[in-house]
Amino acid sequence: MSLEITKSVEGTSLTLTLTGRLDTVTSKEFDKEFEAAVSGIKDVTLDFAGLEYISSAGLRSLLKAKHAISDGSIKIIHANNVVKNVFSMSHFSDHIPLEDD
Amino acid sequence: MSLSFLLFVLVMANVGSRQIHQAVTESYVYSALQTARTARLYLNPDHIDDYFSADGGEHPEEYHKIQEEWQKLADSNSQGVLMIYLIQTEGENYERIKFGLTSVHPSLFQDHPDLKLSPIDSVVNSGINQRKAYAEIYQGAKRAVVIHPQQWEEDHLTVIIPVKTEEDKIVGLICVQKKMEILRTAIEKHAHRVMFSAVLLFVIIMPLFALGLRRWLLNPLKTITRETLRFAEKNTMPEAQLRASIKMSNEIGVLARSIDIMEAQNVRYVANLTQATRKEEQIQAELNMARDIQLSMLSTDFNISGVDLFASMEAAKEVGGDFYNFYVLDEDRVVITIADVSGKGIPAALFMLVSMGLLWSFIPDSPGALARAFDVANLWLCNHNDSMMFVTVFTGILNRRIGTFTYVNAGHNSPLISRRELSKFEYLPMAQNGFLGINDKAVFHEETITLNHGDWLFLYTDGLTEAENGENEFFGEDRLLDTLNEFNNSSAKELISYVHERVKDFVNTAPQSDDLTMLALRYL
Repeated sequence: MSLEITKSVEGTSLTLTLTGRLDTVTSKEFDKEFEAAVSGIKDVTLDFAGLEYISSAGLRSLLKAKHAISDGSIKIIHANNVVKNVFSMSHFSDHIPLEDD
Repeated sequence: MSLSFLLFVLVMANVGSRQIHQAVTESYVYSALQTARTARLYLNPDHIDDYFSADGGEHPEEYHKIQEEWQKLADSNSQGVLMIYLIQTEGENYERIKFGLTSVHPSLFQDHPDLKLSPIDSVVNSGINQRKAYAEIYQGAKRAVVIHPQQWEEDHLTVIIPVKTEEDKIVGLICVQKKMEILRTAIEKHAHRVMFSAVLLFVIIMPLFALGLRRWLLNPLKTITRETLRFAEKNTMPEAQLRASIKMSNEIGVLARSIDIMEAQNVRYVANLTQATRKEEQIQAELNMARDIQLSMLSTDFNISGVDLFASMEAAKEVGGDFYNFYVLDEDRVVITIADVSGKGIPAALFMLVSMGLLWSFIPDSPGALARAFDVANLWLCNHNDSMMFVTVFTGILNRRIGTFTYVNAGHNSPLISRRELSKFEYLPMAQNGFLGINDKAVFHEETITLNHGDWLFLYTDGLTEAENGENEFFGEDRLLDTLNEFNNSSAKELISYVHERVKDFVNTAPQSDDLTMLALRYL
C-alpha cells in the first residue's frame, strides 16, 4: 500500500495525516477512510507532511472530501513543493487552501 | 486363472493319493506281517526239513495240520491274501530258492487261470529284488523285510520273515504275498473323487465367480469407462446418472458417485466460465469500440497550411482521459486544444467529450469571447457534475495571417514556446485559471501573444512530466525543457517523436501510469 493514513479526532475536528502518494489507486483508500471518519465532524485538517505526490485522481478525492464537509471547513497543511506546484498550476487552492506554518 | 486352479487340483489329487497309498500300504504290510507271524507259530523249526517233503516227511500229521491252518489263514483274510509259502535259499548269493509249504487264496486262480504253482521241493532262480531281501534277513539280521511292488502293474507286496531255531539259526523264510487290489482301487477311487469334485466345483464356481465378477466389477467399470469417455467428448450431463445403475457401496460405487458429482461440477463450472468469458469479451469489445470512437475524434489531418503541426496520444488504458484537437476555424484562424480529464477510462472520455462539445459550441468570432466560452462551458459542467470530475484545458487560436495567438489556460500545464531568434524553448507563464467543472463562480481570463514565423509551440499533458521510472523519479519540467532544447528543430513530427523516445528511455521498463499526449506547432 503506498498510502498510509493516521487519524486523530478532537471534538468536531478531524486531522488526517497522509504518508505516501495520492494517486488513482490510493485515492480509493482515502475516499473510504474519509467517509468512515467524517460523521459529526465540522473541521478537517489534512496533514501532507509525508505526501510525496498527488495526481488528478487525488485532487478529485480532495474535492469529494470538500463536498462531504459542505457545511464545515477543510484545509491542507505541510504540503511539499511538488504538491504546491500542482495546486498553483491548477488553481486548486481556490477550492482547498494550503496553509504554511 | 482356470489353469492354475486345474494345477492345484492335480497337485491335491496327487498328494492325497500318495498319502492314501502310504497309509494303506502300511496297513497292508502290518496285516501281512501278522499273517506271517501267525503262520510261523505253527511251525517247529527243528522239523523244518519235513516241511519241504510232499507228504510231510517224518511228521505227516503235523505237516497236514500246518497245511490246514495255513489254508485257513489264506482263506480267511478278507483283504485278499495271495499266498503264504515257506522257502529256503540256496547259493552264496541266494540265487535259488526251494519251495516248501504253500497255501494259496482261491481267488488267485480266478485272476490268473494259467498259473501253475511250483511243486514242493522244487528249486527256481530268485529275482534280484528277492535276493536283496534275503540278504537283508540273513546278513542284516532284519526281523522282517518288505518287497514293495516295483511297478504299478505288480499289485502285490511280499513280506518275508525268518524261521529261527532256539540257537538263533535261520532255517527257512516265510513269505506272505498280499494283493493290494483294494489299495489301487482306493487310490483310483480317491483320485476320481477328487477330480470329480474339483471339476464340479470348477464348473459351478467358476461361472458363478465370473458372473459375480462381471456383475459387480467388470460391468460397472465398463459403464463408468463408457460414461467417462462420453463426457470427455460431449461435456454434457448424461440422460441417467451413474448412481442410478451402480448402487453398490464399495469403491466402485464411490467412484460412480464421485464421477456424477464431478460431471455436474464441471458442467456448471464451464457454464459459468463461458458466461464470464462472454461477458468479458463483450466488455472488451465495447472498450475497443470506445477506443476506436475516441481515436477517430482526434483530428488526424495534420495538413494545415501556414503551420507545421503534429500531435500524438498514447493512452495508458484502452480509453484515455487525454485529448487533443486542432481545426481550421476560418481562412485565417486555426484552433488548437489540449486537455486532460481527472481520471482514465470511459467515464473520463465521456466527460471529455461533453467538455469539448461545450467549449467548441461557444468558440468565438471576436476576441474576449474565448474566455467567455470557457465561463459558460464551466458553468454547465459544474451544474451537471455529481461525480466531481474536472478537466484541465488549454485552447489557443492562432491567426495565421497576422500571427496573433490568443489562449486560455484552464489549470493545464504551461506549454513551451521557442522564439526563432532565441532558438530556445521556455515555458509560457503559469495558467491564470483553475480547471473546468468545479468552481461555478470562476471567471476565465485569456492571454494574447504574437508569434513570428519560425516560432514553436509545444503542448503536453502531465502524463509526460509525471512519467515515472523504476526509482520513483519523475521526468519533470526541467528535463522536458532540456529535451526540447536538444532538438534540432527539423519538423513537428520529428520533435514529437524525439520527445517520445526520450520519455520511453527514461521510463524504461516501468509501466505507463498515465496517458501521454503532445502537440507541436510551428508557425511557418
